Amino acid sequence: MPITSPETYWWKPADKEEKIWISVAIVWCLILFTMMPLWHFVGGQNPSVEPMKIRPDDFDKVTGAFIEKYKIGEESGIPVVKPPDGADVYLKGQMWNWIPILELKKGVNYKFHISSVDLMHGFSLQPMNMNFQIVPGHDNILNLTPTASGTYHIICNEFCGVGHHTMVGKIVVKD
Amino acid sequence: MAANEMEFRTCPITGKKVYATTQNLMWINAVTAVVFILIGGIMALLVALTRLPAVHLLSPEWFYKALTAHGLNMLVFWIIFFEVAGLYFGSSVLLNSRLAAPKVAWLAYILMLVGSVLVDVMVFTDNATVMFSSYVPLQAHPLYYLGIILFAVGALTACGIFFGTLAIAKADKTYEGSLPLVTFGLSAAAIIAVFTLACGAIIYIPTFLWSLGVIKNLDPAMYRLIFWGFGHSSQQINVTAMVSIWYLLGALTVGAKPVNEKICRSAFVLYILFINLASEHHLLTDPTLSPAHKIWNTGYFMYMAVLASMIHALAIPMAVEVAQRKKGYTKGLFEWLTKAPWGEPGFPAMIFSLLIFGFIGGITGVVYGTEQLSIKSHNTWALTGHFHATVVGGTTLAFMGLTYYVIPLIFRREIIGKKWASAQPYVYAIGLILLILGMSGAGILGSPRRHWDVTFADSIIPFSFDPTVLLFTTIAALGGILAAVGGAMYVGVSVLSVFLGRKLAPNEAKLVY
Amino acid sequence: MKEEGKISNWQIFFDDISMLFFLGVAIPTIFYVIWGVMELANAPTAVITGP
Repeated sequence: MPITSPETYWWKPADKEEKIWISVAIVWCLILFTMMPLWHFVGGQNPSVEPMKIRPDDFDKVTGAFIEKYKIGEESGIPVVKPPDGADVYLKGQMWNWIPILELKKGVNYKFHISSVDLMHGFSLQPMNMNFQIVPGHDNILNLTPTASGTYHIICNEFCGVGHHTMVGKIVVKD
Repeated sequence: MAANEMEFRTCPITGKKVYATTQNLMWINAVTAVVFILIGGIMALLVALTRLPAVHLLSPEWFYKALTAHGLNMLVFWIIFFEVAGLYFGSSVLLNSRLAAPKVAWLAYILMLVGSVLVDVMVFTDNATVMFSSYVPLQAHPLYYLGIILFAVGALTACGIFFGTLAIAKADKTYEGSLPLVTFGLSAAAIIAVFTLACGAIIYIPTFLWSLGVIKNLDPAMYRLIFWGFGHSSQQINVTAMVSIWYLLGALTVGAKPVNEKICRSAFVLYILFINLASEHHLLTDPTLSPAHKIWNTGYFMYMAVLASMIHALAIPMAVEVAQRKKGYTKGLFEWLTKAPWGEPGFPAMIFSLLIFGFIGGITGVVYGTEQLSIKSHNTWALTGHFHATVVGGTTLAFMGLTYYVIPLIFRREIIGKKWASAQPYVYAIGLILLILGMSGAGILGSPRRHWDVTFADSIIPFSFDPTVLLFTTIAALGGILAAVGGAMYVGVSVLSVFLGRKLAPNEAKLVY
Repeated sequence: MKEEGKISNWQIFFDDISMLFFLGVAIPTIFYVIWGVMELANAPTAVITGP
């Protein structure tokens, strides 16, 4: 019984069924394990690979300068920014906005720098549902290429205080 | 409390010595666990009623407060109090040994109780609406962090009592040869718990000092790294304790005996060695950590801990089948299963726990815990679906099933409301399956976790999901309400039985029926 | 088959809870905690020059 001590010699060979099952399981585990690094090299979507810390004040400043330089308008009080092709794009999470609204061009690669100036936020791009953790003091650097035009939204999916559920940002991709 | 350390009785069913000190400590820890599942369950009902689009009960302030309380009371207090009772059972009762240092065990209980009450008071007085994860720099009242520290120290002390009892049993030669499998599994859980609680101490002590203003800067990414060494690993304690309880329930309900001890024990050893690496699952979309660290750890060192679960998934049904066939249920492929004691609460609780944990929780966990697929699931409601399958459908359901045996065997009370007890695992499991399906469906479409309003009615920039999200949200909320009913049945039966159930005579041998 | 009278070394290893305890704490501490802390501590900090 599992509630009493086993017999004196319990290190015994497994049965055939057990051996088959365990072999299949081991092979499956190894395939799973191989897929992750493999996809890391051949796949098109990966999390950030560039480690970089950034002081929240610095990030606030650099985002401010980025907005000032490329601002093309304003929508509901939030600046709309159109960066040139291939530029570094700065996106700031703060309670409870994503700043700025971005206007991007289809098929162009942008280097995104996403960080927070207050609490932890969750960058969640809809409707394709891509999610990244945004940590104050750390720059989440992502190379993004919009492949279809349209309007995309960024919601926040990390609890960031009582207005968390109102935090929505926007990216417009044009041809 | 004043019981003599050497006083014991012999269990008429298993022949095990039950020491009075052990029995009292198990009683107080298990009863306290049930009080916390009651608090957590009321919060669960409020959260579900708020998530239900047609009702949307609570204000945002109350919703986030209730959600914080739900997470802490369920994930930490209910489960760990119950596990401490389980550790005392696995060491003292199963090994026929007196418990090491009962006075220290009482101290451990008091530390855990003071810690958990402190945390709940802080949450309900609006001083700690920070969620279970309490990510820095979101700050709670210092007493909140102090409460968690006291709780962790208490639980660590209880693990020490467990190991101390193992040593006493070995020295007193109360058993021969190796530890019983269930005790071995619980040792694995206790080892995992030591790493877990050490991580908790490492991160909550500086966070406590930070909340007092002694430390100025705490790197939020560093907090996340170490916190999940505590937050995720605490769920690995649950997994390991739950698997041990599967073996125990198999023995109590159909007399199942492990077919090959070597294989079962190897699986537990794989848990001990590798399961705690999985804390990395939370950090896959974080900046700064390297892909090498992410892939190595999230892959549990080549998925060896997943292999362990696969082994248990074979070994437990196999043991049940062998035991049933020995009883003569040999017709066809499945008579052993159809003639199983489905009317006893322990058997369906074990089977549902195994299926919900393994098929829903395990598979979603391995999928979401891939570096790239984490991008599709991180912080969505699908994640909440995953861990409700593992922790609630798996651990909580197994613990509930065990309770119906602990009450007559250890606490010597007859179960009141046996029909309710038998129906309870079914109600709870069906509710949970709906809850998990709803959460997963909405989450895969992008619906976020910890969110008061998925219609975004108050946002400056308007946004709305595919309406299917609201359908899935409704299914999840209704499932949650059904599960809360199942939880209430559990609390009702166990509380009534423990306090009002007929006391069994010393030699009266009775499982549930 | 194992001959009677000699307990497998694996069985002795599995019965040694203190050894398992040591390994169970050491492995995640090294691979998860220490490795992770070193990476976070050694990450470069951005120097701001403006866009």
